[in-house]
Amino acid sequence: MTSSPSLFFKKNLKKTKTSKGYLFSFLLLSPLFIWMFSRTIYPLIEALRLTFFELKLAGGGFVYVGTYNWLYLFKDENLPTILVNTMFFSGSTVIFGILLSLGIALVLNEDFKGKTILKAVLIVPWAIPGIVTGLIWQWIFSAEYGIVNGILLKLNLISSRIYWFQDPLLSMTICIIGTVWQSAPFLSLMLWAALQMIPQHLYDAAKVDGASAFQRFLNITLPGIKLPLFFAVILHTINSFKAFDIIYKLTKGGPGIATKVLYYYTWETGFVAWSLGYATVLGVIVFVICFILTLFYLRSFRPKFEAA
Amino acid sequence: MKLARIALYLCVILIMVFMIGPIIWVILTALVPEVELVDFGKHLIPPSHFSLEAFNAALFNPEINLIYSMQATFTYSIIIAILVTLVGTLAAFAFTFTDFPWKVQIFLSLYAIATIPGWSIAIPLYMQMRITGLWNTYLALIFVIGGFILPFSTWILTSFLQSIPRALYEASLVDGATRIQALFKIMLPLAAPGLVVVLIYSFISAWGDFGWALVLTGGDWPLTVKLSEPVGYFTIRYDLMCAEGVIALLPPVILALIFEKWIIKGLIGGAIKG
Repeated sequence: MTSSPSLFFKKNLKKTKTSKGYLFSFLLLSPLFIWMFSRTIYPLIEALRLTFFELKLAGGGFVYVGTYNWLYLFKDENLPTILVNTMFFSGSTVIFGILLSLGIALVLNEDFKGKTILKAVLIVPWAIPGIVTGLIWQWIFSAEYGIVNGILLKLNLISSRIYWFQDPLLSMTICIIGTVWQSAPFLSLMLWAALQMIPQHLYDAAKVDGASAFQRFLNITLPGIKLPLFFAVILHTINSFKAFDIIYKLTKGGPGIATKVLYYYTWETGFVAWSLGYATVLGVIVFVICFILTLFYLRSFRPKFEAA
Repeated sequence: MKLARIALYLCVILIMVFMIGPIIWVILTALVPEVELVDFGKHLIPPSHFSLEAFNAALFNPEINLIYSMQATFTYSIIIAILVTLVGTLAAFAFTFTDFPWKVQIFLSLYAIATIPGWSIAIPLYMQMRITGLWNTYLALIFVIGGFILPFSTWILTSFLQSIPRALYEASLVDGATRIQALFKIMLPLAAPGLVVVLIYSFISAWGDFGWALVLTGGDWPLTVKLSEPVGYFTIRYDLMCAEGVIALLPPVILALIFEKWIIKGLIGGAIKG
């Protein structure tokens, strides 16, 4: 199906010089292993251990507190709101992000002048640092000087300036817009690559049979990009759970805790409140969510390995 | 049919405006002289002229001194890019041209490692850095940020190397080249496009990283940390803020535009096609 380089590892290779010893492979892999172990695996194990400890500033050092940090999950008054925020933020980001990127991908799949320019435009948000994305949207929605207020006033749609970042729902909406703006373009390029692999003769045959454009989309396009679309949803969900930079720059979780999502709250608990034990508990929860999503992704990836 | 064409071009324009409009607005703001900023922002009155004063102030004003942060971020980003590409290439060679037990499992677990959220492991890492005295040094940023870019870079490199026929590698071994020679003298030049993609990708990722730069440094020397703080003492200087943003986004955006085709091909190949 694909003409691209395949990630499939050829099996049943003839025994050649290459497969004699594993030492050479191991030597090539050892920098990666060492880096990954010390940078990710070991800290992850250490994080699991730390969930049973708490840093006591007065006494100095970590003190064993048993399951206190885990039980604190049920006492934390902010947590229910934060979980709702997280679901709202991630849900909206994924739904709008996927719809937008699918829409852009379908547009890219048509023939029109300026396609090269559009493709170049789509790579730009991807390359921009998240903190600058926050800055851009902060400026667009600035109450005093923002262009959105300016235009709305000019068109007489509002009578006085809207203080976007003082309203919980509007703040959340702007965080979602910023995140979608950053992530949708690249996803759309991904989906467009998948669209191009659908054989044209399927469409031609459907046209002959008198299928409408919508029927062609439903019966050819969607099934044709099912797996890439699924990948895009999973990747996008994982990324939306890890949204931090844009929220930090735009709202810092405010007003109140209206735009605080679980991931942001994890950072804040650790590095602002310095409740290190509880913060690792939150971190482990975020990890488990992302890990389950990753397993979904890899489970669907496996068949491709073997079938390629 | 005519109507469909119009609708299509309308969609194209809308997408362009949504994607590029906000950036253009920020660039324009940065170019408006400070005294005319109120009229420009509040009442959408075009300025009498444009000036580069805000860029000049953001870069060289000693109180902001963005040029110092640029240098710092550039330094660690370029080191990360080179190091990640090097380590990733060695590993990709092993995945592509050699056989060893659990190869597929190890390769897939790289993906699982890549998706481990930063804040899940941030506290142990922070403490490691504190204990070893690496906190607030380039080394800490290189180690930690590089480590989060490495797995996906290895994926991209592996998918690039797999487009090279393995027979070519084996033939060069038969011809008497050592394995190291075969990899570096014959395979490496063939994998050059992949190396470039990964260099660019790693550099852009490192340049844009904010979370780790925030918790692993004490001052505000990394560029993204500096940008996260408001500019000005009593009132926010929006023109400076926008100028800072434009300066920070230019290097990665220019790189991405130059290598656009390669990046799209390389990253999407690694992420999805399988």
